[in-house]
Amino acid sequence: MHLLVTILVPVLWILAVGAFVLLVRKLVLPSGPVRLEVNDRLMDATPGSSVLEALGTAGVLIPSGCGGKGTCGYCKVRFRSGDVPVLPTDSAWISGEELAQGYRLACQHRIFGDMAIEVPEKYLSIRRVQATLKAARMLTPDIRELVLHPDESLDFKAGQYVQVEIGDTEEQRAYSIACAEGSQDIILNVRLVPGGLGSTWLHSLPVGKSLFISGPYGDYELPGEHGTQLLLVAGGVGLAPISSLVRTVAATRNDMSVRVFLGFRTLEHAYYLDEFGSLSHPDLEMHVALDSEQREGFYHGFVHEMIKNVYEPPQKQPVSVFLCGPPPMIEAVMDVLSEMGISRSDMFYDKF
Amino acid sequence: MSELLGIILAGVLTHNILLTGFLGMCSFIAISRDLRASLGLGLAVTFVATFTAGLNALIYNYFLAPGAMVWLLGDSARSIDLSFVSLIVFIAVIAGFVQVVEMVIQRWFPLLHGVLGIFLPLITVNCAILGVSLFMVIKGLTPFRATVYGFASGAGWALAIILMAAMRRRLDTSAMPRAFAGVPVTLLLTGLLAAAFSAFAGMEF
Repeated sequence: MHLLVTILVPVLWILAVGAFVLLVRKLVLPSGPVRLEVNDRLMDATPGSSVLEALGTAGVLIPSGCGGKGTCGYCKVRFRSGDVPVLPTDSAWISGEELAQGYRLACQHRIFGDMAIEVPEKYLSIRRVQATLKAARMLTPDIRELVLHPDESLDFKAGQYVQVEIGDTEEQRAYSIACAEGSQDIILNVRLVPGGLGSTWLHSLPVGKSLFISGPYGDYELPGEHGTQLLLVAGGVGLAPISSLVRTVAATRNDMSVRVFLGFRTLEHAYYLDEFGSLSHPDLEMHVALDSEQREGFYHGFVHEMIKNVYEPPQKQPVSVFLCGPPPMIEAVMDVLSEMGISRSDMFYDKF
Repeated sequence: MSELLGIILAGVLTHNILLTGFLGMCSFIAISRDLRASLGLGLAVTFVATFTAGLNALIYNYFLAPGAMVWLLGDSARSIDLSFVSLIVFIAVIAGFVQVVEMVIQRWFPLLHGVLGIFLPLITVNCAILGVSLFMVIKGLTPFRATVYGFASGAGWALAIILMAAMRRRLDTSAMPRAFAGVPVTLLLTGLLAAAFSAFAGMEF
């Protein structure tokens, strides 16, 4: 009797606490799915989940670099109802003006009732597809070119990127698309990072295997204005999006003038140079800098020094700049270009 | 009445759970960086301490204390002593209660939820909360007095963290040797604050 009571009383109390928590949960969360309106589409969402999770479940993939921790600021969406509170994580990434318009981070706000949000229309075309590795080759000692054939074609623009799911892990890695717009295959340049999970896996992936990618992501759009000068600057494997832009412009935009400035460590680390050389475009100039090797026909030094020495900004043409490479290179090039009178608002960059 | 006032004054001033017991230091150090968050956490801790102390006192006095279950099982229960499981039951009650508070805050006060972040569920293992429940047993308080005691201790904890947050606000703009900036100077200040509070020690209520 005593033993029974001794065991029962504490156990019952602990169970009672659990039951109470469940009861409150039932009261706090609406039962059954709630409705989430995304632009004009209606979708079901689980109450209590974050907007980002709900969008992912419903198949709307919006960019997220940090996985919902509020530390990357990518998953910005607009809430139509005006009473969504501003969290410190929101104000860290979103300007006061946008906050007033209802922009918040999707990962930081939870759904408790019907809700209406707006995401940029282009995110609705983002899809997750399976792709087969059709071909692969080493471009340099540490950069592998992967030719992926997706089951459904992705409608991407030059300069955009895809997220690659790394095998059975939860990890994703972003890679710029390196081929011209309209290509059915997706070509990526993957640099092997010593000890890097994603790049090691992608370097050892055999041809014929398949993987999942989602995309296209990225905000850059080629300027529509006729006769714009496109200034493309890349360091190392930052060449990938530049490659897509050069090939696209060569195929479709004879009205633009293109100036390409590339920086590599040595000639062994340079790639795609011959392919660019054989592109036919009326006004395409390419300059290559090697910082650790002297070679005839190549500038010896860093790419920002080369730009300072050989580039002359056009007097009348509008200029659009796309930079991709390591952060110090981008900083240095941006400084050089703004000294030349090019506005920072005309410079688009992708640091990695 | 004067006894209740005594419990309150003791909890807030003379036996401030943070400044004389040094319980609940981790969230105190972490959250006192921000005045608004300190206010929120102080309120949350006060709320949780008040109700868990009352609940735990009810459970202790009517179920767990030696011979407490006489009202339920009659004289044969006089020899039953479940006080050895009180720690487990107290922890379960606190954990459940915090869970409930978290759900309510997340649902209706998302701003506060965003500010408190991980420290809200961490109230579960805030030693000040468990300390209140354990001290209340040692002091042999009735459920009503335990509730008052829980409230007073929580309010004392809140007072301490709000004081500290206000002081740290001034520290942010003052010139500080690098070795002292941040946590070290906060610990030093806590010591000074505790020394100041020890001036109340002679007052017995």
